[in-house]
Amino acid sequence: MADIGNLTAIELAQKVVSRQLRPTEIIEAYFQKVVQIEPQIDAYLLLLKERALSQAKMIEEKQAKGMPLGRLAGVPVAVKDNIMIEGYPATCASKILEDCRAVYTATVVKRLEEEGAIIIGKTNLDEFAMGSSTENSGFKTTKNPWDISRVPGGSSGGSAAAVAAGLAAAALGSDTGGSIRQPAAFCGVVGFKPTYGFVSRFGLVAFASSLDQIGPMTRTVSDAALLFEVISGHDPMDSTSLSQERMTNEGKTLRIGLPKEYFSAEGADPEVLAAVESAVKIFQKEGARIVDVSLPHTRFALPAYYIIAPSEASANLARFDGIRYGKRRQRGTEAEGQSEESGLITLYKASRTNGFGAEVQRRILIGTFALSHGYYEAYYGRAQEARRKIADDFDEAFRQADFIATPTTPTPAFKIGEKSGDPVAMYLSDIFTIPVNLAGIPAVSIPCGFSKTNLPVGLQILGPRTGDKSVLELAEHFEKMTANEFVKRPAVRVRQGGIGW
Amino acid sequence: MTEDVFERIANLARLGPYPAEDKAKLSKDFGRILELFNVLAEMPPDGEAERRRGGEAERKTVFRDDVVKPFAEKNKIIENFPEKEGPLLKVPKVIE
Repeated sequence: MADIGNLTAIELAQKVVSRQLRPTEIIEAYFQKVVQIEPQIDAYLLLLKERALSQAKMIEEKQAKGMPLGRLAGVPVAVKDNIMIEGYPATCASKILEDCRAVYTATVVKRLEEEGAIIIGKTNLDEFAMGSSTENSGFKTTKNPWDISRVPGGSSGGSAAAVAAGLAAAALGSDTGGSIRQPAAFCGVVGFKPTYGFVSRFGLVAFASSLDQIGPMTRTVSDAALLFEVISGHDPMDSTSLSQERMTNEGKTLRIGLPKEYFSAEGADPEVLAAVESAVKIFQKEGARIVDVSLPHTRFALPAYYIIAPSEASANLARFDGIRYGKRRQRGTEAEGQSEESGLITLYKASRTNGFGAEVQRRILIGTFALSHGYYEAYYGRAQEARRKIADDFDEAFRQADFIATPTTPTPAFKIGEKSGDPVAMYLSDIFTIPVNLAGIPAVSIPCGFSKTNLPVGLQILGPRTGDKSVLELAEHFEKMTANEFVKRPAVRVRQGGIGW
Repeated sequence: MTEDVFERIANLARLGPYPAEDKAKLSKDFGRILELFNVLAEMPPDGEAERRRGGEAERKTVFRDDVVKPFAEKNKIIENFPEKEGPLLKVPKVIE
């Protein structure tokens, strides 16, 4: 039994297909671990044990009848709670959605389940995916399994922590400015953000629609590649979804570009840079050519992102007003006494001001400001221009290099509370991941080392648009070259029943 | 950011009113975030009109076929209604 938790998604499915493991056995083993470890980590907002067990039984019945099983048969997968499963909450970690139940299932979940994956729970996130630490959740703060005094990153912090702590074999996250890759780096797992349009957003609660993309979070790159293959592909329900013509690297000399703007960034931890540089040396030893590239508009990425994403969010979140969606409040704060507004406007404001957390309100205000009369050109217009220049920078860099390697984050996981009072300090933790979303290109974060304090460090590999498969192949190659040296599990103390590791 | 502008934006966003303490904190954060945005003013203008690209790989409008499909989820949506009276769904007055 102890062995089940250490198998990768691919290994689990193989053992199910070859009848060495039963899906119910896998699910039971995972929930046993959840009982022991989840109280210390708080990765989940909802556990779906009954549903998972009944699906496991269905797979066993299919197998008994000799029917074909999918590529993820019996694999326990966790799903970020902004992705919908019919009949269950999709709270987005927001109090405003506490009482809603999803009325349909996201395409990504359908595709996973068609391949035999079993969804075991919905994971915690920063409210509406706005944040970099999971501290902005309306319900609880997830802890980093490597050091529970630290954040798991965000916004897909629950998914990253669940995979790292062995509470799910794999997970789905969503990435608008780094929300898959940054928590993956902080928790020592693999996190992949596909090319914009490669994975359907149907059933993902929208944050910033031109940037959002769903992707896998796993322990190994091969698992990420398999999940990506399963969830990707055209979906008529998402008008931005692309039919895939994937580019692969046709065996030319591999050129890996190092953008100088990233390696000289202010606030980048020397330990992180050292780990990334030694990872790059491993590629070099294998024959890759290392070239310097420049992404000169990098410093405009952060302001552009924090204008574009909140602008889109202010529109996307307008529907949560207590009438169309969300918990209704008749009256708000005490300051309302002297209001001369109509009852309806008061109801809207009260529902929104009580239902949304501080960061969500901050971003709605920023977005409303950037789109408002008199400021639109100076902010939103300029930000779109910066976005184009950043995309052009990447186009140019990918003429000189096949891939770009950078750190995923400037530092390893920070302490809970360290940045929660300072929104700008928090925003800076996504400085290396944001440009990727603005350009719509694919990028993966893979573990590449540890700090002296035993915190994981992530290497980010970027590829040109539609180069997803090549990015994953290169990342997989790194795992092989390093003999899975960095595919490690943190030691999480078990609270009840003595000390287990 | 002046209080007037803040009030106007909050009203447009259908947020607030905020107690003085929250308003002070939000205005302060806002000021710091605007400083961050001002870096964009240093970006040399290139005269080119805003081109719609960036995240969007192939930007074209995609239409689904216009076919009537049965909608099975009606009751599930109704279940999400907070207030009911008999067979009726209760909503606040939304017209003035």
